[in-house]
Amino acid sequence: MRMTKRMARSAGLLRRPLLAATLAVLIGAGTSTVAVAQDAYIGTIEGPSTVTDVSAFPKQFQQAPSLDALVAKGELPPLADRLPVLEDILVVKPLQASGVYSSKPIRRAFTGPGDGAQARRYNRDPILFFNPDQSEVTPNIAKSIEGSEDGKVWTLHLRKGMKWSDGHPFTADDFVFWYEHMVKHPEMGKSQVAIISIAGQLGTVEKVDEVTVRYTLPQANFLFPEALAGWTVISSHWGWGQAMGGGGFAPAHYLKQFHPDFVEKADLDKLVAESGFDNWPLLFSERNNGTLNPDLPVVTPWKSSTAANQDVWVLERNPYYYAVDTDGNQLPYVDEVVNTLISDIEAINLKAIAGEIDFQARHLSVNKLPLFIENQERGSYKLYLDPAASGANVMASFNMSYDADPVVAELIANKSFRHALGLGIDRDQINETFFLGIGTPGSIVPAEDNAYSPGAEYRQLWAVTDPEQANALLDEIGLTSKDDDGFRLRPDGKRLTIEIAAVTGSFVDYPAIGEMIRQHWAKIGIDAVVQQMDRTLYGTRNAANENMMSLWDNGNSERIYSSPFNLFPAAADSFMAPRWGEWFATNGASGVEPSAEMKDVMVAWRDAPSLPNPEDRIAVGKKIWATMAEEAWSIGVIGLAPAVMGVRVAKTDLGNVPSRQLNNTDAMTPGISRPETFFWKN
Amino acid sequence: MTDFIARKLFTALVTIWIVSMLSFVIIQLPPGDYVTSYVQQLMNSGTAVSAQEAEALRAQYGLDDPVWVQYFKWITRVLRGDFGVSMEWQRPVADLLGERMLLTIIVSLSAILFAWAVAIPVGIYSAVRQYSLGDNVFTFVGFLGLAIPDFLLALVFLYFGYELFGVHLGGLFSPEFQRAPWSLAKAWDLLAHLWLPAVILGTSGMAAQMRVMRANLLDELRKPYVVTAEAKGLKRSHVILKYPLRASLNPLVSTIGYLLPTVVSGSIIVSLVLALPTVGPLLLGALLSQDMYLAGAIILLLGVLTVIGTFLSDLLLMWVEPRLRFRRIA
Repeated sequence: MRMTKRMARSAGLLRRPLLAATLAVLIGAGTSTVAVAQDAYIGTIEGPSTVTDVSAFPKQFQQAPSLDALVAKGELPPLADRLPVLEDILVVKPLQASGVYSSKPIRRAFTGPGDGAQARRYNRDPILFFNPDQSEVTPNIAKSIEGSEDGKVWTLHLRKGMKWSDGHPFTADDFVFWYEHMVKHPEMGKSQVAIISIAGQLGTVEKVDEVTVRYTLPQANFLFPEALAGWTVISSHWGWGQAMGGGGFAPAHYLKQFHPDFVEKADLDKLVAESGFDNWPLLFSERNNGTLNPDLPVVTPWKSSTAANQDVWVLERNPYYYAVDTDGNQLPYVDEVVNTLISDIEAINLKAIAGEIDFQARHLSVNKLPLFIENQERGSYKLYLDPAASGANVMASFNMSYDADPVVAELIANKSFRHALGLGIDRDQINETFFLGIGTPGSIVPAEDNAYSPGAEYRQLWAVTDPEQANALLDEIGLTSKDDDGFRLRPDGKRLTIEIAAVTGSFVDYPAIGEMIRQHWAKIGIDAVVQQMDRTLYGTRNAANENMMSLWDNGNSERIYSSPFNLFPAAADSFMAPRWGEWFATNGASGVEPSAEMKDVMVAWRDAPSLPNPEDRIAVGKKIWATMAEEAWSIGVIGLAPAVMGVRVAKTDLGNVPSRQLNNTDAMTPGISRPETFFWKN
Repeated sequence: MTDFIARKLFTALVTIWIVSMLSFVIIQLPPGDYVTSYVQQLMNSGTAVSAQEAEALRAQYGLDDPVWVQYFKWITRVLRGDFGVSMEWQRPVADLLGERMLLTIIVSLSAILFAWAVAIPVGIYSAVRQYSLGDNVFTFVGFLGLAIPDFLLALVFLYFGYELFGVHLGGLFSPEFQRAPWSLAKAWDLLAHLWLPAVILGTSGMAAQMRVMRANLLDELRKPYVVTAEAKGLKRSHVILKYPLRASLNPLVSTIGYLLPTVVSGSIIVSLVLALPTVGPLLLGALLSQDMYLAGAIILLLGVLTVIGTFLSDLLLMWVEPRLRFRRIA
């Protein structure tokens, strides 16, 4: 019963808290207390690997039986003609065993066209790849990469004979087309991409020969291979094509028909009019979105056979996929991935509990763990937990550039004030209530086994529960007088009120957590209000610099140099300090100059990739995290939890499923586990 | 009569025009626009969009134009029968709606039919046998039906579906038919799934109509003409079915106008819970993401449905109610 009550309280996760709570009560009604024995569900990080020794390559190749008929009829060339030349084939060693082909689909659920990430994560085409623990960059679309000594020129070697899913050769031209005609085209709206172009200086992307691409960067970047393997605008066509021409490469032979550089304006206008779009960039973006356009040639294991804007979104086998297993079986093993549209997240959870979802982590809620555990046998699935290595699944970030109320702005700028609020949060209660005790309370620094961890002691720095010290700090900075309700008064005699902006509809129940923090702060005499808001409203208020404090997570920040957005204010839409972010993004041309400590972090972060020696970069990273914990610009609450896409179900008869997979954006979990190697054991 | 219909038609058109304007403006009222919501959604999946990129996107969608320009562009297209391309779904709105409209109408009609099929006979029974055990039982059940939110009922059904049969009851089709083209087997499969949403959506309407029916009929039964008819020796069942019943149907008929839109928009939460591919969840999503064209089209459609429904119920009312008919013509 205790569990039931707790779940009811914490199930406000979704857009309709009442609904969610009711469901939780209903389903939970029959369950006794289920102890979450977390260790039973957290395995060791593992996954497939890549064979690079050509002498160990298989010599015989097989295709899925479903393709045999097509080849026999002459509708598809034989396998040997579809794969790259022998030494350029990607050979993947599956986690457990070579699988068997099956036409039984993998069933998953998605919430609508906005949930394209459901298959962007499952079906991947990054230029380079990571090994399962992300300690190394491994081959994928490109078989190798080499950098110049100064870290500015990077040469990519593609696979000879590799083809798009329509059989057209995949070459260096597809990279140049993307850069010259998509990124640089003024009407596409991109004009330049970070990583290749830094601070307005344009880099270049050139074709050396059919299978060789050369990137020239304006600044040294020794982490460039990681950018091609991770989740960046230059790394993945399937993943980024939808975002106004990101992607790193694109099928030039197909997309030219929608591009004014290659077709007559009048012909293009006609196409646009027929499509119903207002202008050609919109049409082009839609045509270049693999989740929406089944005709788009791709190089992923599967391709859309129906689009993500239908009720059932089906991915079917790409017969030209360039990877095989160690026995020479062309991947993927399973013919189809069927994603069913279910707009309600509760309904997705219920479907998973009923065993009607074959493999999924996205949209499964951590507060339903007892249910997932209890119904494993009945639903013939197994539950896995994939905790993140980022320090905060919940953190309270001050808007360091807040200026709507000068008195509050001054307090936010005061480090002691930030420390006091950090000490005033009872993290254990939040952990028990919202994370069933499996999260880690503490500051925002990454897991202790992360290379950039500043040290175990930083987990507790200004991030333990200590109301006494909090009160002392608040008294010290002059917030001594209180009103009749026991709330501290500001220097101008008004009650001090902290506004906590909490976005609804996230994987983590920010509004409910905000309410709990509000109660904790009342005990140290700080009044707070939780402003529950929709994401769009939040974005608008944020752009206007109106939010005082936001609840958010810092996912992927454990990969410190991958992307700055969850680390420090790096853009005008940053939730940490929009004006400081603008200052950073525009190189000081506009926005507000950050504090000296923040500037140090920004500069150190920006310059680190140009350090050739990995040890130096690690030292810089540790220093950045140490500063972040000490400054407490963001108050860490709970981290290292599987709250975001870390609750995973997989059917028991699905093979090559890892007991634990790395969970971060760069890994595009479960992409890092290569779902093309999953297979039905019977 | 023709004059009456012409007048009604004219007011209907004006109403629809006003609805189209209001709906477009109201959708614009919340802060931000589709691009804001799109950028937030991308950020949530780890994709950063710069301020210039957002501006470029806004220009591509024409969201930087003033509201009246956007409305004019939209309404002139609508008049030509083109509802535009949904921003979020990247598909022509007409396609999107067409597909779901049919299923919405099927689900709604079956809910209405279920409600009436139960409410009218039970209402008659309760009125004729007022305060009998049966009446009391039905009254009790009726109030329960009124009081229980339909989404909760849906959850209860889902729960028992899973507990007893180990299946997830959501959706309108079995997985094997979901992607199949229409066929007899698929239609049968739809029928096999339809009873659940029909019962859930119909229940609260049924309960209300049962009570209305009972109250109306009770009023009529006490009128002198009924007593006269019975005194003249007419069979009781004949008396009730021929006169008071017909008179007491009026309120039911006159609310048909509201029935259509309520069932479409009132079923949003149930449709979400049961994962029904109907228009309701589409509208909710469109409003959340500020997808102007899609939301505008649905709201316009709801307006048109209300207007048509009201028009139809006016005509029906004239048919079942001779007094009204003659007064009008006179």
